[in-house]
Amino acid sequence: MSLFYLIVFPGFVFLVGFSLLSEYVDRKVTARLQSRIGPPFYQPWADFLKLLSKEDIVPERADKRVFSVIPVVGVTAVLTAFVYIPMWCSHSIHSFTGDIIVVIYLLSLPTLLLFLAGWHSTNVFGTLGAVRGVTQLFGYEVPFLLALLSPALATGHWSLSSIVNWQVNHVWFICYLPLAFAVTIICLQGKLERVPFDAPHAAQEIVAGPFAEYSGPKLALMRLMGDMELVTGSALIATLFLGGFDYFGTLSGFAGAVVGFIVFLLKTLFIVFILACIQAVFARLRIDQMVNMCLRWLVPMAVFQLLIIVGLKIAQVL
Amino acid sequence: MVLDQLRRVFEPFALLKNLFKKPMTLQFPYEVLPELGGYRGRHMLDLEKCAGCFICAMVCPNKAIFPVEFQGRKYPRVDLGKCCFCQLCEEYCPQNAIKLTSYAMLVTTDKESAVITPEELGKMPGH
Amino acid sequence: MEEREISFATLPFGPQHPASSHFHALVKVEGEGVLELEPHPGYLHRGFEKLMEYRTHPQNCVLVDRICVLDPFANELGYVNAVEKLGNLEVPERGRYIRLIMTEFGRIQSHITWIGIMGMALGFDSICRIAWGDREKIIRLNEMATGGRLYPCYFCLGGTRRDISPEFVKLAFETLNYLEEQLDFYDRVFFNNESFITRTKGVGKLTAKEAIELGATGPNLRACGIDYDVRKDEPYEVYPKVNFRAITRVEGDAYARSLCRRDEIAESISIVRQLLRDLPEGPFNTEVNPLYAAPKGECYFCVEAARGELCFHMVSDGSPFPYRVKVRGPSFSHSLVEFPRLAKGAMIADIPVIYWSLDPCPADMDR
Repeated sequence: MSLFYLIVFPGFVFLVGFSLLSEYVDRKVTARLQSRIGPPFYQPWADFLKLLSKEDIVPERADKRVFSVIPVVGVTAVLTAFVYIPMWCSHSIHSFTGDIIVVIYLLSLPTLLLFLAGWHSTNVFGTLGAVRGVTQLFGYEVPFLLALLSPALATGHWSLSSIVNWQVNHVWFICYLPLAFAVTIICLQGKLERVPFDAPHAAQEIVAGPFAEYSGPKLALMRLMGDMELVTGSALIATLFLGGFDYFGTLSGFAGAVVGFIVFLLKTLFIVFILACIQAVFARLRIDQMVNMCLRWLVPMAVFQLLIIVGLKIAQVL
Repeated sequence: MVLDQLRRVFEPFALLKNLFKKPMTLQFPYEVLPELGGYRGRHMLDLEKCAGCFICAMVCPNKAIFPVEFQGRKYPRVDLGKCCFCQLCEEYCPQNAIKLTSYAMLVTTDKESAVITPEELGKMPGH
Repeated sequence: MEEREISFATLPFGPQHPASSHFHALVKVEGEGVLELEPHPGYLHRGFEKLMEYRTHPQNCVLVDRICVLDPFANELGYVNAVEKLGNLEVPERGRYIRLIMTEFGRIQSHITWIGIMGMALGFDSICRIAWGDREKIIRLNEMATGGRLYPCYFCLGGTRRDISPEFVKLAFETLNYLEEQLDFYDRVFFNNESFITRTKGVGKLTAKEAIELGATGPNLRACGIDYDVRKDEPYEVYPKVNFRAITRVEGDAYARSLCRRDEIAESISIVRQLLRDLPEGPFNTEVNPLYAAPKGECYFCVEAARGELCFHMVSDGSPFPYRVKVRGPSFSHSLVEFPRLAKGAMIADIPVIYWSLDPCPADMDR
């Protein structure tokens, strides 16, 4: 039974489908903001299938084994992270105390894998993109961790399922921790390497960065990894701050689970919508400006949020 | 100073009002822009009026017009690959025989069809 | 003493590149810092100056559009004015007014295209799509008046080839109102965007002395504080009758150049309003022989294109074909002299910003 959960629903097959759907939502919202019509709903599928059918070119001087293994490891890492998020009831497929740390760690694997990909491409653009990616990691990882762990610090539980349970019984965390919500949204934009933080694969300066030498099925998997990361990150924020599958009203049994699941998906798409809006409105920041901004603004905001939590606990509100 | 910076971070979100407006895209070729008149498109030749003087060939900057045999006498033939659609041939034709219509659907995959023979020039383009 | 070997990589800022638009340069970088930038011109060389020696003046007028595609009317204006000055040809008032109206619309269109490309160079896709959508409105005006969207082939010796209709005047006023609203929108979304200001302030600073030495013209020169505009200092056509000012700024960095161009759009809108209001009736051109032979002599005529000073040196030997036409493209000094000077010591991420804040057109660099 758990093999079915892992591979079909809500595991691999479902995650691939949902991440391609969220890529569609992202591209459509961006297009509408730019006064364009945007692609039809099957466009991400079409792009994925087209890339699978193209020729697979590996550069001569690159390390073939590492080059080929990176996309597969990336997809696996993100899929494993998604499995721990509770989607329709108070325990995910496999939950344990401390799984929130595991999810955050698995989400930072794709950045390291992009670094390896750029390094092993033996292309100047790839190396530059790889180094920029790791530099950016210094900027956003600290506030991301601090802000994501605020709900855990507030409740005292260290498992995603228990945090969602707390929100079901009390109030969604966005009411108590708005600053952490804002910080996680901005840092997730940095982790996903989207504008304004897409210096690692800035098309106008270093043509595609680490992705430059990938083609065919490997590129399809790399892009799929990016989309799955988008979905997992948004689902994580929706779970921690917006209550996951919690909705106003109560239905019990199978119907309750279905409605909860759909509400969870809608909340994830809402976060994708916010990220798409941020992507359309800003220009790209230079790498040193990005790290500067993160360390100067986001870290104090996250720390201030922690102080607020301490204050609320002393006032016996939490 | 800090307030100014914060204002400049939130002000660009005025872009969000584009979500409620109709997109600017024109889905060509299902939707076409209305014609304004006077567009310089493919040539059309009045075979009765043409005197065969070939002032059009002399005045063409890219030598796109060339005399060929048709119906027993010489008529101009236009090579659209060389033509720059400048309308000098129409301006200097003493008989007002060669004119530029506003027909602009000139995409083709066949190089020979880009050379317009006098027979095709005599008919309205697009038929 | 030990010698330290500096290892650098050579990046192509090549002719096929998302940011460089037909300009080829090799950039030596060390880490993220640029050591040297070596431009390689000639990718778009089409040999205009030689081509023009084998064509008569009416044929040259339709050829000269293609020297700088983004601002076609300035090229035509320079050429016809150079020949008219040589031959002392008469142009009626209405013809002159129509010429200036179209030229100023061309300037607005060129600056709006620049807004789009500058956004793209910064990674800001949205502004590119919206700006080029607004540019479409001006191109429709081109189509209405001249019959061609990007290559107007409109000016000729003695005036213009076609007249403008009352519908054109009405559509022109509507377009100007729309552009004023859009300028407000661009201010909010682009020019007052914190990420834009962070990327361009202090980047690519050109001092006034350097600007004059290196031959900068147009908004690049005026952003360093030097008040030189060919329309004001050596006026031509009917510019003396129009009330406008030359926009200058003091800082000389990429931000100042960007704001110079934005203010020039506003000034051009006001100039076109005045010209449309004062448009006289009458003929729009004088008949000139198609095989017109300019008298023997030479003439140097400068116009203010959107990018800078575009000059035509016309040498005639009394035949219908010009003996020699030399075109001074404004982007020649911008991309080949100032861009390497400003890029030295900058970061890789600044290269597209500096390049596009100088607004060069590789087409009129190479001719």
